[in-house]
Amino acid sequence: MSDLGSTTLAITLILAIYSVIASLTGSLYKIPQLTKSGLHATYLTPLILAVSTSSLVAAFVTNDFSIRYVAEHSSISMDKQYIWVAFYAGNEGSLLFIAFALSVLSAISVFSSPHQIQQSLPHINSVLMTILIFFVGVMVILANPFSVLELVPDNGRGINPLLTHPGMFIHPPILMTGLISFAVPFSIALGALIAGQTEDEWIDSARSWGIFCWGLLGIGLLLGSWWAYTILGWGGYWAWDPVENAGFMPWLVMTAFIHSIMVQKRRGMFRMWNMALIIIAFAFAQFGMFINRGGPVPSVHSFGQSTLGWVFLLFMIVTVFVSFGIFFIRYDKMKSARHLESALSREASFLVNNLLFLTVAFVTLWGVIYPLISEITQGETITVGQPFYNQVNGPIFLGIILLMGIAPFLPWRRASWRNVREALTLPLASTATVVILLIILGVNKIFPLISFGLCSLVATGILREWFRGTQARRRRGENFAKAFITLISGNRPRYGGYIAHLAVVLLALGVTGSSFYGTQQDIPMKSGESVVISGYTIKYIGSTKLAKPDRIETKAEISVSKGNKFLGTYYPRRDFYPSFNMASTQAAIRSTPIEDLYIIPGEFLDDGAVIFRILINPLVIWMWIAGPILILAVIVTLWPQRNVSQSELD
Amino acid sequence: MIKTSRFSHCFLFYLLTVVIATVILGCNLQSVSEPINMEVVAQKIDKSLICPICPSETIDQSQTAIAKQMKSIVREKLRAGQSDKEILDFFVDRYGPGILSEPPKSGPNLLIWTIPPIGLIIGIIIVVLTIISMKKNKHSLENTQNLTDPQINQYLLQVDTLIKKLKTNDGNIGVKDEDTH
Repeated sequence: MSDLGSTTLAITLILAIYSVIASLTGSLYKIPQLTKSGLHATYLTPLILAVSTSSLVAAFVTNDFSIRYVAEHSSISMDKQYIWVAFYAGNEGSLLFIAFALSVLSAISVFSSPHQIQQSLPHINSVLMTILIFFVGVMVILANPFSVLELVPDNGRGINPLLTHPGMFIHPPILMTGLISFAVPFSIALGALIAGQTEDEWIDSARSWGIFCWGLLGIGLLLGSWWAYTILGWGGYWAWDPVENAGFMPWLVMTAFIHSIMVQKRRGMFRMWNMALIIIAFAFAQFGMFINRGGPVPSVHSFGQSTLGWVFLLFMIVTVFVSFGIFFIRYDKMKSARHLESALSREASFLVNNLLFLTVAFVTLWGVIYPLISEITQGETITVGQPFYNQVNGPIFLGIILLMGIAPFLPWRRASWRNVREALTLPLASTATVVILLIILGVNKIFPLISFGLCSLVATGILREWFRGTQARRRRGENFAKAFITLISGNRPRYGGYIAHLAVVLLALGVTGSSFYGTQQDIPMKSGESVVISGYTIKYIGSTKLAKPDRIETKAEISVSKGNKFLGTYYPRRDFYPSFNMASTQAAIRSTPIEDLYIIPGEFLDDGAVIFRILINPLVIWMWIAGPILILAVIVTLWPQRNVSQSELD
Repeated sequence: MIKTSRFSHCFLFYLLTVVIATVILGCNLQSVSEPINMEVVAQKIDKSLICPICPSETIDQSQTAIAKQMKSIVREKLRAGQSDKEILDFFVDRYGPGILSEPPKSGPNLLIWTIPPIGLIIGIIIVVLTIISMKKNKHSLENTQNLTDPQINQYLLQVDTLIKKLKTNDGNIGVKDEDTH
């Protein structure tokens, strides 16, 4: 297995190098056959890498502990379903996963590239394959997943217990694919730039890929939060940990990109800016992979670490220098086709949007690297934790939501105050209602008041647009559902965007509710005892211990009731893994639209008592509901647009 | 007129939904914000202290023995009447400033707090300057626009006629996107 794996990796490396040389030479000397042959080599890479991937999977299935990677990440007693997780649980395997994902995405993007960018295709292909060469090269030279052990152990070390959770089946692969997928829009942009197609030829396809990556990474991040919430057992979902930040920063820049690219699409403006943005976005994605792989900052995501980080940092620096080098060579060819007509316009509001998203991204970057700066300049170790990000990024996020409530209703080119007034009267009325009511009801914290008010501003604005559009169509005789669907499909980029905005509103609701109104108590209870917390009567019935091959499970039985109404029995669990000296906690969560009751057994004491940590987390469920809505938004936006037919225009 | 009344109907219905949702939300948020007691203060301090052996986890999150010990020290000192600041200083003296989850807002570390707002202000200035300069270029670009995009202009004309038609049919409709002047 190890020979087959290593050989196919080497073949991929050769193929990718050939692809770069052939497509570039073919394009330079106008030999179409050679270019084509280069592209064909690209199509082959996923097939060959599939063989490498399968041989690693086969080694896992057959418990081939002569391969170091298999010995380090699985064991005989490991459940076979976890092979999928074990595959990318370590550094080498995750590199193979990323390379495979990149080769598949490259082949798809090259194959499906639209005719506008055919002229740039050899260059786009070369950029993609150069990135693939880096990953496969690193595996071949520095981190071969198929390296063998001289002494073959009888059993492997087993899988990291924190990874044995349903969320781990999808969160890491989606996040990794999300990060590496940034290579595609980046390559399309850079390829077009090299080929001199510097006007608007590349933007349609870069935009589609950008939205795809954005959705993928967004879902990956959300799944990570969900995983942290249900298994890490501290009652939170986001800690501004360096690795979380590393995934979040590229997502923020991509958010800026998929907005400002619309200005170029519609108005031929911001050409240079969009090019710079996509380069920055890819650089952030590379930075993310650097932090993930033994970057210099301590993090809870300790798996997948190695000393390879510096190679990734070097790769990032080279990419940025080369990209911006080409950028400045082509500088003169990227002038805007149009001017800005008014500061009160959709175009200008997108500039503000970009400013805010980039500010959050760079503030986060600043927080991640500041401990290093402080250590070098002052010799002092400083921690930049959650409070910093909450205090600095929190207000900027509110600014983003405010913008989200206003900007979509500004027309392109030039808005009049009448437009603005007309579009915002109803949303503002709803905001005022919400804020006044909340104040009357005794909500007196300023941030939540602003946040809930803004959420209502955005939601009302969107619903008003939908309602008016649907009504207009209904008058033409369509029924409500059909009118709504034709409205949405009539302008997918716009209404898909609205759906994404609604998902963001739900996220904001969840974050605001849980950060400002969450409560937490640590309560020791013996079996039979009960406690009342914000209306819930929580009774600890008893616990059972169960020895499994790899772990000892301690399961507590808890009954929950409210007043006289019995709500159910819950089984929060604490698992101890002796071979890792590690414990994982499975929380008992009772979710309602209003709040989550969240119970974790913190510690089982010798006298039979258990210290339970009981949290009330308001509105958290809306964050998880936002996930599917986000996916829906991406699907609606990317669904092929039907051309407006002549009959509709008449 | 029938249309207008249907619209205001729906508007009232929507407003009612907003009101009900807000009332439910408000009542529940209020019920969980209980009076401040010692445990709440202690938890706040827990969240400001990093566990010395587990990177980037606060002692509130961490389950290690040292975190538990630190938590009980926090509570002991609170009972002894010490203030938040005194307790945090105690831990800083022992472990250095890295024990705090939030960098101090004084001394050389003021830098981390001041850079973001300064950056934002510079960003705002750049955006304003960009908007001004893009508006100045108006005349130099006017001609190229008409030369390069005849299709777009034709399209916009078509849209204009479409909108006019719709407006005469139904009164005001919600199409603003293509509203040209």
